[in-house]
Amino acid sequence: MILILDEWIFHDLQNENGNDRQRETFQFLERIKEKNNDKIAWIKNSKFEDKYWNLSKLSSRKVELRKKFKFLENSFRFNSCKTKFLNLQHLQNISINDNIDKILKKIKADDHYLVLSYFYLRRENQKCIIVTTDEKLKNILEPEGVIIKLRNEFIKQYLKNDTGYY
Amino acid sequence: MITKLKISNFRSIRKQEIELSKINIFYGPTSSGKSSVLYSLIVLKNFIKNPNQSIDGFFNLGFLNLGGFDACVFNHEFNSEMKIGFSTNGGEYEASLKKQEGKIIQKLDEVEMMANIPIPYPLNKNFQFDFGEEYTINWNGLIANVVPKQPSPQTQQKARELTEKLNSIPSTLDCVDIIPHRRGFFKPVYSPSHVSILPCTEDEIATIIINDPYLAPKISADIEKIINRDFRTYVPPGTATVYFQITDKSIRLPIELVNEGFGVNQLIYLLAKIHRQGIKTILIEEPEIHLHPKVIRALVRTLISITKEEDKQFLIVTHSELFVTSLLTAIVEKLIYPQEIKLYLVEKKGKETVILEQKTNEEGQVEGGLESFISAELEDLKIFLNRKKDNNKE
Repeated sequence: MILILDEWIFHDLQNENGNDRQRETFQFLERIKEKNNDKIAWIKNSKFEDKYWNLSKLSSRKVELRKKFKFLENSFRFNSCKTKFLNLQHLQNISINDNIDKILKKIKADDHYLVLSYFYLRRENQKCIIVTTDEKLKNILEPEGVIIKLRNEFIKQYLKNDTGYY
Repeated sequence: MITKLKISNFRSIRKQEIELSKINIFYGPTSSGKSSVLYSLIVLKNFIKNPNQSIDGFFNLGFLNLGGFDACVFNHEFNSEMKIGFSTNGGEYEASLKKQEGKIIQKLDEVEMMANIPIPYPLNKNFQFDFGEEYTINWNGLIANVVPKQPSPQTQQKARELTEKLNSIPSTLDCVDIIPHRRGFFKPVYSPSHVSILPCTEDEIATIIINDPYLAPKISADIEKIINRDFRTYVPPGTATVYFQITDKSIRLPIELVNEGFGVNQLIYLLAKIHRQGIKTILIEEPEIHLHPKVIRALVRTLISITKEEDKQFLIVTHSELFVTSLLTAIVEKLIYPQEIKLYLVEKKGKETVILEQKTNEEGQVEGGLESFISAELEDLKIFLNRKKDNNKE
């Protein structure tokens, strides 16, 4: 399954949301590594990647961030088994789904990459799920048939190996 | 180009077959057996260049003496057969070595030749094989001569071609050279000296530079791309001595190479070996040593351009994450194709070296990621995270 995570992952790793969440996110990433068929979506030219570059810049100043950045790089970004690259520019230029424009109009432009990636992966017959901290986004997308979960609830289930989220 | 290596019972390698491409990277923990992959080819080269020596002689690599057969056979199983072989697009060659005897196997298309030999072997035996119904191959284990059973201009011409093909297989190793850890120039001035089959001393490499009129300019072209320096040789009139000079192009100040930083110094040695005439396959131990990250990246790009422009093959042992990631970035930039790179994670499982291929893709990713480089950092990261947990309790 491909996990489409939004930017909370970087905020958590930068410890902006407290030690517990930081540790939980790290455990979550470790668990993804252990699960053979799971990987994350890495959407180039999106807000997700902006946050990654931001972490890259900050990592030169603080040793702890440097280690987190290298962990993300070597365990995920360079790992074809754990990261699926998509490109927002490419996603914007292809016709994924007739109804997608209607959905996109309801959400912030910054979040379009999540929806475009989701429908693109579904079209490719890949199992995927959006994991977000944005409750409003969840409320808009869920009625449209999008499989979307809130971060806290999802991570708890994921760490328990509970597959009821899908 | 060597397309495959087969190694059995050599040092910590019990049995491995390794597919090779243009740039082959071996990385992994210290003492996992990476260098053994490179050394195996030099042992086989020693055997092919002079099989008429005691078995222990094959394990003297020139720059490093591995201590003989007993010291190098897997798990000190003295009665085991050590096998080292390789494939090219033209065929296969393999030597099986025991303390006092050996077996050589050479394959070309449907022809398979096998010879049992004593060690030392003075190449004094002739083994005959039929090649189809028209030709006979006379072979001493290294050199073959094909003769037609019914000579005619056509069959003699074909016999010559077959002879050339057969002999080109073992002579592939003539084009193999190694750049060991111990490298560099430690004197300001050199005079030409004897050069051995496997030149590694600074005097030998200096002599190669002195004797080849095109080598210093080639080195200079590369060193300029890598670190903006110019490399020249200077011969004072009426002498047979040669100074190696390096000039930082931004300040126009020539100095003797020995007074330059050691990173540049060892790069000159490395490039001299890479550009040495007739050398096609270069084995390099840790090309990154003494180099700043920016220079490592530039070196990777230079090695790629040498592979492309001069059709050279590299087998590289590295501990540099940056070396590997620079290579992966070069794939994304389309400077090199994923199929031109083979990446191997070398690890030790008990006594045995395990070599795992990690396939690369066009996105510059590798199967399984590069966690080996950050295993220590992951431990640190866990300490950071747990320390915060403890602080919370306080």
